[in-house]
Amino acid sequence: MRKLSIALLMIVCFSGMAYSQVTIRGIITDASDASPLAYANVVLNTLDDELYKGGWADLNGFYSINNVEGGRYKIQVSFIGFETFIDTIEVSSFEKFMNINVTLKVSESSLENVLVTGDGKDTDAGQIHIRNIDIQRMTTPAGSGDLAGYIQTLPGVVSTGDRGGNLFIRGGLPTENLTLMDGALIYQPYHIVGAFSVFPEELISSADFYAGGFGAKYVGRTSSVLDVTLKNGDLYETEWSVSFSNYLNQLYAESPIKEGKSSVIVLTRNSLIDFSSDLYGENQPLSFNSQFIKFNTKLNDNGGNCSFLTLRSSDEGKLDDRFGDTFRWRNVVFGGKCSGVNPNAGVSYMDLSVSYSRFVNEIGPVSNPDNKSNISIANTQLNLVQPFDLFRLEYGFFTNIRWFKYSIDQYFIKDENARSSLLVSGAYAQAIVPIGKKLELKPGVVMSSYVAQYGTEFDPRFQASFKPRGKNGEELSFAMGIYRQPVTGLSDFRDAGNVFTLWTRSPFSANYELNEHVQIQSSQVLLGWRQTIGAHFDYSIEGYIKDVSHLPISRWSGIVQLNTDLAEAEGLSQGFDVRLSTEKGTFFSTLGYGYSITEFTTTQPLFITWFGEESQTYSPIHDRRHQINALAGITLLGMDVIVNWKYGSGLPYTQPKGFDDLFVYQYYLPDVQSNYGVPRVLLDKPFNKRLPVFHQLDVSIGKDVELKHTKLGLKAGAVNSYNQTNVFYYDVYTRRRIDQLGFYPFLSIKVGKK
Amino acid sequence: MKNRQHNRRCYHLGKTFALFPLLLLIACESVIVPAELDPSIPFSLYGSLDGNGETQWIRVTPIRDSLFNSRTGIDAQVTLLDNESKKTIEFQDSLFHQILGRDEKIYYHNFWVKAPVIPGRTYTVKASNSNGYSSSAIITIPSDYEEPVVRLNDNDPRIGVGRITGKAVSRLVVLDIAYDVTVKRQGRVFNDKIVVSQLARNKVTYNSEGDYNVYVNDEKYLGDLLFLESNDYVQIDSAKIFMAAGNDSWPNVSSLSYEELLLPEVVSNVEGGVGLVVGINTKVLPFRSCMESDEVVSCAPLSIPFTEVFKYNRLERNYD
Repeated sequence: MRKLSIALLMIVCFSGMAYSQVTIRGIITDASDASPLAYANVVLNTLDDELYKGGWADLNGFYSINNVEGGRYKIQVSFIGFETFIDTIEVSSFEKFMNINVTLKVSESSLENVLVTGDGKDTDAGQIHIRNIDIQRMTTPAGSGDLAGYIQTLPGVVSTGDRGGNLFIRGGLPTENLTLMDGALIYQPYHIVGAFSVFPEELISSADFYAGGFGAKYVGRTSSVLDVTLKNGDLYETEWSVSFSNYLNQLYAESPIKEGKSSVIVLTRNSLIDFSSDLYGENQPLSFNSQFIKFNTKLNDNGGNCSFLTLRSSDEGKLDDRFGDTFRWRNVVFGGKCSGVNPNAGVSYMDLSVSYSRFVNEIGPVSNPDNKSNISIANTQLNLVQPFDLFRLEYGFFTNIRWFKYSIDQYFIKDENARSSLLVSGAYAQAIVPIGKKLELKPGVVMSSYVAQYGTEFDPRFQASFKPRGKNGEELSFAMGIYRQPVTGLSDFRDAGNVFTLWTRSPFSANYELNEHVQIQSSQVLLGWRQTIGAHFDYSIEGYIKDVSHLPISRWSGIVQLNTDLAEAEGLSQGFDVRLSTEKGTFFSTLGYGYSITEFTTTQPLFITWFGEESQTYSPIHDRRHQINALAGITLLGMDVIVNWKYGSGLPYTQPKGFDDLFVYQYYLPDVQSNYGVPRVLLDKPFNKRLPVFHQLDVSIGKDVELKHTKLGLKAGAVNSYNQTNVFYYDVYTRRRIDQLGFYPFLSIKVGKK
Repeated sequence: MKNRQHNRRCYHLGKTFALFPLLLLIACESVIVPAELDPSIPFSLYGSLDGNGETQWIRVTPIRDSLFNSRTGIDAQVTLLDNESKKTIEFQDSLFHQILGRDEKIYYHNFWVKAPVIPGRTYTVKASNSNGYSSSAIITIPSDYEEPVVRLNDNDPRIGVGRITGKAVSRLVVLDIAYDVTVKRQGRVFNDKIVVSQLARNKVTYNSEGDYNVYVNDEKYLGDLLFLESNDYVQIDSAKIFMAAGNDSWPNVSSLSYEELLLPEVVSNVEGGVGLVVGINTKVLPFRSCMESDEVVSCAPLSIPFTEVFKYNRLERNYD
């Protein structure tokens, strides 16, 4: 691995000396708020309007086109919903770089532009680019769409129920998912009511979701990445909206502070389901709220921009409304990010982000919780992009410190109270190497060095894409890599009604005598094909194999109790996802199918006695084999009609062979007359059966009404329209079955600036 | 998010959503089977046949699909077969209950028969249900054995301090001292009954012949068990010895973890079921020296049933 790093450095050095042609580069931003326009299309045509070269802006809105020969060209920058920018440029072969930063204005006929399928953008294996319009097109039971709803429509994303906020991505555990908002980490972005997250449509510019195979830029998680680019406040116009539904209310406003220079966004949401559920006959003690502020300032006209954000969210509730524990969690995030292009330096783009994130979760009374776990992280990351003649290099440096603190009542770990910290510094590098017009290779490596833990680790990553006909919208993509995670979230996934997570360093050790801890480690291989057919249809299919080691799970036991010791497991997930999308006129539809097999293998001391074998392989609670999601919408008579049908095959649960009452003969005779005995579950093998299938249809009908000074948005619909009885979880001990939300109509009203 | 215990309803789907025929195919399977009961393993049996007892008690529990039993009835016929004489006696059912939580009763069935079992003989306890399935255990009653000799410490006038020695028995499985005590704690004086297992305290030693020997001095231990402080005291008013001999059917659990003990196959002698029924031979003796011709001899057993020991509190400390 050290050799690979050295080789990369040598490539950087030699390439830097070998330039002779020009690199055109810059940042593409939204003129209204200076937000980067991720995946904007940049094309360089000859004066005869023949395509010369082209490319896409990255998530930061940064683009670069290498090896441009001197001469006159037409540069064309386009992005869905924005007016296309066209200009003629003179490229001087005596310059190494030419900086062209472009600001695009929202198109007056943006609606028409939006409704075009398959924008042809390149995505890596495992990656799905989520546009703001995708989030709006959901049946979210509120005035605004929410990223949580959209994420759950993606194949390979498994939710065990409509509450709890845990998502399992392609067999990974929820605590293996990384969520970033403008570079700042947030530990639990999903609310206790599963349709909602801290990301309503008003806040999101775009998001990139990686179900695996992500590049070297993302460090510290093994399953998935959700990288959210938040909107900046408008630099020229004031916007606002207020919305109410029986699920939540929301207040949103954005305004320039200094016109054309700085702006602010404020958003606050508060759930109402705790109150409104009384109307349906049964109170649901679930509540959440969040508050968000983002300040943005434009530094210069070269794409320089700084933003500062703060987010607070709070969730509380019982997943089992009658007998369950009360869970609470809180996120607090502070972050700042500055980005820009240096017109005179070899480093074309850089951004620096500094953030602090804290997550607290607990069970029990507010005044004296039974179990409580805190984790905080202070992170600094510098990302740089440097184009060379033969390739582009993306690299960066990071350092962060995490603090853990927990107080538990014999839950998983022997120490009832503990504090610890974890300090890491590291760097990453990823080269984007085009080979001809058809092939692009992206080798990368991450180096992480931990103080007093784990040591120094190198994780290689590799991505590649191949366009057999050299056309956009037809691409074979491949990714593989090694991923490590230094922190672990311990959860008792035997019980879906329990969402308490104890964050700590990895509890497992390669050598217990030397106290050498090991990180969760995953190796992944992905292979996918994506094709756009015509202007209105595209499809993709992607297969994956992912193995994970050093996963913490609960030890198997026949004891009727929830507190157990930990055991170590190896996980293997494999499967494939298929997505078909159509857009034409006002009609859109997406059909997704995911097939997945996830198996954990664990070795525990009891197994020799229990099964006569040292290890057992089983399907964990989130091993959903088949998943279908169908989403469709159309505008009819001025009303937006959206339907979303979801189907999932049954999740594993433990079906015992029965129960009896145990007496232990040890030093004394059991008293069968006056003692009931110890209730015992006669286990065959945990997770040996499957719950019934899950399926649900959500519908919504919405209409916007233009008033004199305001715009009124009305939406009505229903969650679980045909009142399917879907199991949320089943307690094998008490035979208590908790079902998901039944037929639940909703109505929302949204009033905003016209 | 309703808590619906009933099976799902699908009768209205066709009326409401005829446009989704696929749903009709998949919408009618929402039943969760709480447990996959094996009819060929109908019962859990626990208890003992006491060669020195007049009444034999066996816990008979049908393997059920819930954690606690809330049913009062039982489909079981329980018999005791003397494998030598081939004589069969039927046990009688008696229903017991405990209160769980505020007002929920949980029930259990003990079957009893007033019949002596003869040491050295083999018996079969069999529980059958009306479906023709049965669970059974074969039990051999341990041979009778000599009562131990108790020597009180001449230099210590306290009751409950002394030595117990006895000739080898087939297997010593219970050796308890049951104390009637007077306790003063935090200014309050009260009487209590506490039993201390000398086996659990590792106080029993054996010689090469298998003879056993126990030094008994539990006063301080009783103080610890009762969490007494400096101004408190415990006074032993009387003490009795409860002992039982077993045989190979008595499990050797010292090497097993609690989780292993819970596994149904690990400690069981029940065919076609789970549980453990053992043969024992119990004795209840006074904890005092009996003299004969100026010689310390075994005391005659007391005429109280061994099950009296269950009336004593069994408190244990982990540090031993």
